[in-house]
This record gives sequence, C-alpha cells and structure tokens, in this order.
Amino acid sequence: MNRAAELRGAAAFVTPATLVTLTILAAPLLYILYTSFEGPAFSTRAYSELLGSALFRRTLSTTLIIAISASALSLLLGYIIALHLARQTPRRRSLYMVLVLLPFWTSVLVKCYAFTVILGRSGLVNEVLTWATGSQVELALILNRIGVLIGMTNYLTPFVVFPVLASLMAIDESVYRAAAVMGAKPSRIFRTVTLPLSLPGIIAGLSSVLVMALGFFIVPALLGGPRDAMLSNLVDFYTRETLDWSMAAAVGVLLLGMVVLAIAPLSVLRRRQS
Amino acid sequence: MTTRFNLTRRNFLTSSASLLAAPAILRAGRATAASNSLTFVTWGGSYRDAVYEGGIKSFTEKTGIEVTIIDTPDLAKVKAQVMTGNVEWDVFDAPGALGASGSKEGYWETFDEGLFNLDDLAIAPSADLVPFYTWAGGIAYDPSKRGEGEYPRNFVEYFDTEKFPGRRTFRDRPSETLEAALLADGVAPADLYPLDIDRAFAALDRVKSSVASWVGATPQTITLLQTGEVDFSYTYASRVRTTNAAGAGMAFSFDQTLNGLEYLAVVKGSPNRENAMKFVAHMLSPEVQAATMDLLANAPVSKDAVPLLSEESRKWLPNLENPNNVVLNDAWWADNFEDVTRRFKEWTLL
Amino acid sequence: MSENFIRDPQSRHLQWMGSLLAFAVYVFLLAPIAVVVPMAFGSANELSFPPSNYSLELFRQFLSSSAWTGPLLQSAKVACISTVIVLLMGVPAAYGIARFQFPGRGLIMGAMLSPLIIPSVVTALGFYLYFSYLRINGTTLALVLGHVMHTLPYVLVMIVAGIQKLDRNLEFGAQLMGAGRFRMFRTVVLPQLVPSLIGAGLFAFLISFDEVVISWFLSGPTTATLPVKMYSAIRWEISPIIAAVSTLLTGISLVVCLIMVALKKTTPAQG
Repeated sequence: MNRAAELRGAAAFVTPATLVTLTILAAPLLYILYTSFEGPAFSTRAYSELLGSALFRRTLSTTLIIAISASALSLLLGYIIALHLARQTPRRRSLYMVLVLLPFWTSVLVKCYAFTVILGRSGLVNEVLTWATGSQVELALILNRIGVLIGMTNYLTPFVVFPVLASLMAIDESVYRAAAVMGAKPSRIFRTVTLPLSLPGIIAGLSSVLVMALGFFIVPALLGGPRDAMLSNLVDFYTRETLDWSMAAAVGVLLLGMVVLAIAPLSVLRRRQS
Repeated sequence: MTTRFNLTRRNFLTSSASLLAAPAILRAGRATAASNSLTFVTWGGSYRDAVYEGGIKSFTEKTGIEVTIIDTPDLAKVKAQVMTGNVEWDVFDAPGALGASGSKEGYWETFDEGLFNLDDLAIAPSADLVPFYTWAGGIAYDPSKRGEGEYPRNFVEYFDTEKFPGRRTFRDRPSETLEAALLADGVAPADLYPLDIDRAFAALDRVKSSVASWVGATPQTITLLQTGEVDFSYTYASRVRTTNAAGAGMAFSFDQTLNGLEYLAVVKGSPNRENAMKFVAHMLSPEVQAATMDLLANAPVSKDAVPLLSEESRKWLPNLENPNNVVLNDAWWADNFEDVTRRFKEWTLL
Repeated sequence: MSENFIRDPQSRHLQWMGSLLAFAVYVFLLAPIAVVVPMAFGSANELSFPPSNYSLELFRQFLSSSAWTGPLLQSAKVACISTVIVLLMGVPAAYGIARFQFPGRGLIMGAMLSPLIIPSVVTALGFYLYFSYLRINGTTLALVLGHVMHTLPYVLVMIVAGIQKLDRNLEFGAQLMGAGRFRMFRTVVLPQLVPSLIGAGLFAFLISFDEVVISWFLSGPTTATLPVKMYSAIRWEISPIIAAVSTLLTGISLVVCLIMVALKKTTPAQG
C-alpha cells in the first residue's frame, strides 16, 4: 500500500472516534484547566487559596496515607493469592481463579453495602465477637479509616493478583530446582529467587493499584467518616456543596498531576521491557 | 476506492466541522417542553410518606399532575441549577434559614396574585415564600439502650461528652447547629441573635470528636439511632413521631427545642411554574394542612386546620411558651447563611 | 511451579501456611457477596445476617417500587445506547489503529485510552462543567456521552487485541480482488471478529451499567441510574431492598463474566 492510500484508510476508520474524543473528552478535560484558572480572567486564586487551606492540606495527606496503605495491603494480600495460584495445576488454577474474578467483577457499591452490614456497630463482626466474648462488643469499624482501608483493599486486591501471577508463572521452574538442589531453604529461595523475579509484576500491580487508590471516591464516601475524605471527595465537595467550581477544578488538576506521577514507574518499566 | 464512503477532502472537512459544532448547536437548541408534571424536593423517609398521603396524592387526583418527589432539599443544588440555567426542581421545601437565604439570593419565583387565602394563614406569606408549618427540633434517643437520666435532654447536656458519653449527630448546615452550640455554651435563649459565630464554632470544636455524622438527609437522624450507629441524635419531633408510628419506640426530649418555620418556595426558572403554583396553593388549603400536619404533628399555618388535628398529634406540637425554647431568626440567616455555610462545611471536614 | 522439588518437612509446613493464608484472603474477597446474596432472600423487616426466614419479598418490593424500577430501566437504557454507540465508533477506530501507521497515531490512542488512568472523578468533573456550559446536564444524552467516553478504552483494547490475532493476508486478498476498504472490513474483518465484538459489547454494557461516579455527577432527578440511586440509598437510608439490588447487580456481573470465560474457550487463538 502506498503512503497516501495508507493515510486515507487510517483517516476513514479513525476519524469519527477521534472527533468524538476531541469534542466529548479532550474538550471537557481542557475545560477543567480553564475553569481552574477562573476562565478568561486567568487568575491563580483557586490554587493559592488551596495551598493555604488547612482543609486541602489535610485532605492531601489523608489521600496519600490512605492510597499508600491500601496499595500496600492489597499488594500483600494479592501476592499471597498469586503465590497460591501459581502453585496449582492449570485445572485447579482456573477453578481458584473464579474466586478472584467474581469479586473483581462485583460492583463497588455492592461491596460497600455489604461492609456496612458486616462491619457496622451491630453488624456481623461485632455480633460474633459479642457472642464469643459474652459481653457487648461495639467496635467502630466503619465510618472511619479502618472501614475505608478494608473496603479499598477488598476492591484493589484482584488488580494485584493478575500482574503478579503473570510474572510468577514466567519464572523458569529450573531456577527453583537449581536453588533447591544447592540446598537453599524455602525462605531463602523466596527472598533470592521468587521475590526479585516477580518484581516486574509487583511494580505493575502496585503502580496501577496506586493510581486507582488515589482517585477513590465511593469507598471513602460510604465507609469513611468526615475526616477520611480524599481528594475526589473534595472535588465533589467544592462542586456541589460550596459551588466553587474553580476550586473543584484546581483540586482535579492537582489530583491528575499526582496520578501522572504515580504512573511514571510503570511506564519506565514498560519502556525498559520493550 | 470507489465506495460511497469515499472521503474527499471536502466532505471530510464539512463533516468534521459539523461534529465540532455540535456542542454549540446543543447549547442553543435546548427548550423546555410544557408538561403535566412537577418536581417537589422534600425531606424523605416517613416525612415524605406523610406529605404524600396528606397532600400530594389528592393533588394528583384533583389535577392529574404527576409529582416527582426528590429527597433532601439543598440550597447549593438550587444555586447550581439557577447558575447553569438548567433548573430541574419546581417546588422547594425550605426550612427557615434556607428559605430566607434563597429569597435574598433571588432563587425563588414571585407567587401569583391571589394564590393564597390570606385570612386563613396565621403567618402572612412574603412575595416568594409561604410558611408551610412550624417545627420543633431537639434531642432524640433510644430509651431501651440506657437507664433513666443517662440521656441528654437539653443542649447543655447534649454538648457534655463527659457526663453523657456517646456518638451524636448534627445537621450538615450551620442553622440550628450554631444555635444549639451557643445554648450549650450558656447563652440565654433570648440573647442568641445576632449569633456569635466564633463562639459557636469554639463550642462545636469541643464535641466534634463525638459527632458520628453531620446529617444531610433527615431520615438518617433517626435511622442512625435505630441501627445503634449513634447514641443520641439531633432530630425533629415530627420525625420521631412518624417513625414511632411504625413501632420504633424512640424518645424525644421536649425540655428544650429549636423551633422554626418551614416554607414552600417555587424555584426561579421552574420548568413547570404553573403547576408549581397550583401545588403550593393546594398544600396550604385547610384540608391538606390538617391531613398532613395530623400525620407529621407539626403546627399548621392554616387557622382552619388547627381544630381538625387529633388529640394525639397535639402532644407533639412545638411549644413556643417554654422559655428554654428558641425561635429561629430567619432574617439573621438571610444575611449570613451563605458565608457561614461555607465556613461550617469546611470546618466539618477538618 | 510443580510440587516435586519441595521435599523437606519445613517446606511442606510453609506450603500449608501459604494455602491457609490464601484461603483467608479468598474468604475476605468473597465475604461481601456471601453476605449480600442470602440477605436478599431474607424478609423485609430485618437487617440481620443470616436472615431467619427466606422469601422473595425484597425482590417483589424492588420490582414494584417505581423509585427503583425507574433507575433500573434508565440504567438499562443508558447502557444499551452507549454500548451501541461505542461499538459503532470504537471498532473501526480499533481497526484503523491496529492496521495503519499514520502521524499522531500514538497521540490519538493515548487520548482515547486516557480514561483508564484519569480518576473518574476528574473526568466526571470535566463532563459536569462542560455539559453545564452546554446545558445538557441531567439529561440522558449527557449520561450516554459520558459513558461512551468511559467505555471506549476498554472496547479499543479488546478489539485491537482481537484484530491483531487475525490473518492480515485475508484482508490483502479481499482488496486485491477489488473489494473497497469498507466492504472488505464488513465482509472479511467483522465476521472473524464476532467473539471479540460480543466480548467488548458485554464489557462495555457491564461497565456502563455499574458506573457510579460519572453518573453521580451527570444525572438529574429524573435520569438517575440504578447505581446512583443505590449510592444515595446506602448513604441516606438503610433499606434491605439494597440487598436485592446488590444481588441483581452481582448476578448480572456473574452472567457477563461466565459468557466472557465461555467466549475465551471458543476462541482457540486466545491462550
């Protein structure tokens, strides 16, 4: 095919979607930037007010703390599952895989509702503890940080399992055998073989989970207390509660910036692999 | 390339241009259709059921106009709708501070001449607000959980987290909440206004860690109590009464209450303005007032409705004679609601 | 990893520990579903688990209340329309991206895929502000447009993967025989793509049907979708009907998930 024909063909197929993407996606995103600088007035009022606002600084640190701890917890749980799956025969693996896929496909709202039933003050966990200890137990497990972390970890764990499992499966079995023959203890094999060789999966999983965690909205709103609001909730707050759209937009721009920073390791990794 | 899809440079440009121009066409071409419906924003849960049974049902039967009921009136949403020119709500069920502030900001339509029977209304309507009833807000608790005397029964006690430990609620708006805080801090009911805002926030700072929820949707003031998520709750006499009608067994303290007017207002630019006007007039007719207020146990504005209330409902009516009680000053809130709300909302998240 | 290299008792011990931990995590992951589904078959007046007696009462209440069926139909409507639009737009685009080299290809692909990493609240805010300016906030149109952009990247990824597995020579052959580009696309490419098309369509439908954040920003009082209604219901009222709705959503996810697994099995090319 010659160059001109190639271009014509590409244009014919790609143009409609491109135009829609420009008008319906790119335009709104640029509009956020525009609004964050107060439109034609071009003022940095929103940004300077944000940086001086105790609420914003607190929410920023809450977001970082929650996102990092939820990602770390998900990595731990996801790794445990991935190790278990990697050890199974293909048949049993696809069976166990369903146990990861089903929660993966479950709506976040369903999970949040279930956790209010499980973790509420007179919820399942407290009931069981009350029955087991024989005295009234009313642990506060939702509407606080614990609830948010439990909800987010539950949601994010499957996203770690897939990439970690892929890199575990890619490890050549002879490496293990060699290590075992040399007399290495299992803990040492894990430390010196499994862990380093699954590092690409860990980085991929962690990075994607961190990106998702930074933008969480539903879980902190439903399972967190007022002080567990994350940046997403602050966007909602400025949009609906105080109707300061420039502030909402500025928070959105900063949140997007953080996500781009979080994704950097992943793209570096991709580039190194290719 | 001979298909009819062949893209020449010219038709490519024209089709792109029309796609890019689509947003502008959309913006220009949006019109509102005349309809046989209206949207009423009100307070949800058992209250919503009572208003439906007492007034909305008969309105639809009489006029054939369908009423879409939306929960939780919110002045910020009214502002957003008016700002974007995309008004979705027609009639707004407004507690005093919200009604008065909205009136000052110009969010309400002026009522049509002769819409109300002024002789029947105990409190006269203004140009854009008509009183709907008087309510009483105060402290509720589940009497099955603790012993007698272990519940706060006035605002000083409600703010005393040492003597009455437990999780509490407040509304997610400064009106009512700041009044309660100043009462708790020792201001006499008669000396509340103008509110000392800094002092109120200082008093609220002291209970903040015991507040489980800043409630937006009124039904939550009582469901949180029922599920045991909170130990005491700031709610309304009518809410407790309607919930108890379903066998809930909650208690409400009449030792000290905040009392306010509830208004009805028609949102500026309401897409169903005519229907909305008819609806507001209907809700203020003596029969509807009697039926609704008998269910809610709020004080009707229609004088003719008062004798129609049942003995049982009268027990729950706001008592303006009690010197501990406060009547909210809507005029003060008209001037201060927007600024104080912003400070309050940011403070609740801090 | 096979088991044969692990012989000594210490490793066996560790393996048991590992399995035990893994089962604990499986339980944690599945707990929400395990609790919600039985509750949905409980009675209407209790909020406890496990329910004391079982019935279909909650489903009956759900399906007879217009406050819930309205949003259910709205979600179905939005999801169907968005799926059709996103396929009409996304499948040709995926073909163009997979088969042609052209300037700006990376940029265009990046823009279309960007909703995958941009937090939904940011996209939602953009739509909200922009659609407010266009005065279409709160309409079904706004929801559909938002959902189309939100599902486009998934469709693109799945269809590009499907196309890359096709034999390109068939396409060259058809063109040599004189078929125009679009005719070739319709008669040669699309029929081979059917499994990917079904998969992408189901995926788009499910994502749209479950989407909360964008819908939360864009829907109005008469256009609320099921997830939006559910979000406010969880936030503001405690109704056991939510358990029935949750079970319905989980059921839909499960069906879509099973169809996808089945599709994967019928496509030998996919490993």
